[in-house]
Amino acid sequence: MARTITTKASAVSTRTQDPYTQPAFAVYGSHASSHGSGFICYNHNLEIHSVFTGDSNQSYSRFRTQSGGGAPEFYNHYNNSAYMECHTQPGSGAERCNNTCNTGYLGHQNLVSPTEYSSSAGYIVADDGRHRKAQAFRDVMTIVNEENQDYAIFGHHNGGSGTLFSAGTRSAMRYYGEFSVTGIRRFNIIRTGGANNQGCYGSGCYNVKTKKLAIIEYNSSTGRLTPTVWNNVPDLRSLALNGEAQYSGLTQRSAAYSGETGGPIYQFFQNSANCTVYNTGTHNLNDYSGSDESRYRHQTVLCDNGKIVTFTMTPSNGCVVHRWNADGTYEGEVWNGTWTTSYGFGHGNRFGSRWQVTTSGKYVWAYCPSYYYGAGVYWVCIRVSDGKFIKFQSNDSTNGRASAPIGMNSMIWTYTENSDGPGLYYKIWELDYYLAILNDNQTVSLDDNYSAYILDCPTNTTNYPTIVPAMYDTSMFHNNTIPRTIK
Amino acid sequence: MAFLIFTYTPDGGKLNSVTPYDDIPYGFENQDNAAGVEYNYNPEVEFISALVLSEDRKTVTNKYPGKTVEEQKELWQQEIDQEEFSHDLNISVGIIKAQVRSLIEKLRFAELRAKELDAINQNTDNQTILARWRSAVRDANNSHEQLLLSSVTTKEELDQFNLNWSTKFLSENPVPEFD
Repeated sequence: MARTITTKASAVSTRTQDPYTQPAFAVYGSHASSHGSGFICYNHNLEIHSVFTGDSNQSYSRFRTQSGGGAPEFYNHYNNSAYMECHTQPGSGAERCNNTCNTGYLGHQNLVSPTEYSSSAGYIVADDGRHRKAQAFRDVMTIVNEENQDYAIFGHHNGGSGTLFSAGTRSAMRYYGEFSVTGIRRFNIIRTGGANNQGCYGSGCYNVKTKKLAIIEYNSSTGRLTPTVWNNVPDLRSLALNGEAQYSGLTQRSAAYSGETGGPIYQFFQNSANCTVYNTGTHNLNDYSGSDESRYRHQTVLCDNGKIVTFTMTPSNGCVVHRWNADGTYEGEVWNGTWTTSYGFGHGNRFGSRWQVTTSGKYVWAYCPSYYYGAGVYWVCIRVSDGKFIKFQSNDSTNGRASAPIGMNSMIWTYTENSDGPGLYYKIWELDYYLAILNDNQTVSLDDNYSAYILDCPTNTTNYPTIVPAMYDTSMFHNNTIPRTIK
Repeated sequence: MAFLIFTYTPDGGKLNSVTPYDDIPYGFENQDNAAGVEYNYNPEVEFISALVLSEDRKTVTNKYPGKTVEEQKELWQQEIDQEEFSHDLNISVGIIKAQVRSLIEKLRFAELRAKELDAINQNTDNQTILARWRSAVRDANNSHEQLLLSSVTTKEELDQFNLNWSTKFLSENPVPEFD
């Protein structure tokens, strides 16, 4: 008897999906030449999402991580390279996979993030590839109060002309291709401060709620910072994700428009009437450190109340936090963490400070190593609503720290201790809670009371794992009914 | 008065870090791998990482008494560098050794074929060829390992040392094949 295929209307037109079942981060461990390598991805409930692990000699039907014998190209070609191995802690090493500066808003510099649609828990990039990704990690600016964290904005030092601005998908790989290779999707935001002011790298913040964009300028003569706030800025998410947005207001014509100077968005950022210039700070960053990192990169948070907080790594000094009041006056240097030798992006784009944001978009944490290239940490977390912050410092010359957003307002904090037995050491910090119960500028002990024996690591010997932040759909946490309307 | 936190490896053994705070950080509590004490810390006189805690975790002392801050920092750095060098050297030995297994794996099919041919020919000629090749692999490994341990004494030398001996070995000693 022939079957009849009927097409009935769906009984349920919408359904809800639990946003916590999306990937949050993957644990990466590697001792590729003898004890395997791979990724174990966990969701926001710390349940398993996916696993992708290889064995050194392809036993047990797993892929080969040791060179030769059919290993994938990167594992074959770069085998035993420090950048892809976790068989040692960061220490003073520059190229360690578990360096504190390797994770950020764009994931992990040396590894590829899982997404909500991934069937794999992660993968590696080639040695050259991580250097290419690192440019985006240096340039990426903060985005706050954003429900849809599927895009990124970038700022590139453009000398006395200002800041070369770019918006695109949340992808370090695509930024490299679009910004550096083809040179598209970018334009200059004018300098608004005084003479000798210069644009910086990754030193800005887009506050979606207040529709404002802060840009930080550095004065090459005085070493001081001046924030500029652009008001009523065009929708930067639309600019990032709709490729034609920069030109959408122009009449289509046969004659070419200039690549970097056309369109209403470009015009908006050439008009100083659209911005408010805050007072110049009084602290000379050159006094702490003469490095490019301390001069040209300032992790920035533009708060809902108009306050601005910057976190700057000051290599071989430590870090400084500056804050401006809502009326544009300079509150001052509110923290200077210090210890010993450290290096920023002057020694390579892959080094220096990084930032991440909670799924809610309401808490930003910025951080950098405190020892050489990737060990120890200086860390601050800033509440976007009002600029209150808490801080942490660890004078650790051995271990790196890696973090990722988890849940709505939390951060998972991990530590590169030996996973042989206990697996990954981690702790989840509910940032909304801690920013409520602690005082402004209070120290929190992030290294306390780690959990272990729960999150496995895909190797079977001494290993010092790191994590890879996942690229999940943050909007699901804000509206978890599907189908959803894409804005 | 500062509040110093000493952190140790999870087994409570090796000192990982000493960090000074103005006050007790929120959430801190003494445990196997972390101890906090109040101490009259003066960064003008003492380098923070020169400080150690007594076994009963009550008394702070300076590892380098009588030295200036810069001297303390230098001595501490030398210690850290030496520890790191020893660790990296150990890892490097492991990387050298791992190549033995990688090469011997290549004999899987040859071993079967050698046994088969020797059974037919009523001798052990082909298996002897394989045994000699395996032995040469081990000798090459041992000699490279010895070269590493006898010639490398600094981090810089270790960074320059080529751990890969198997590529050259294979080009000079191809994997035996039997028709």
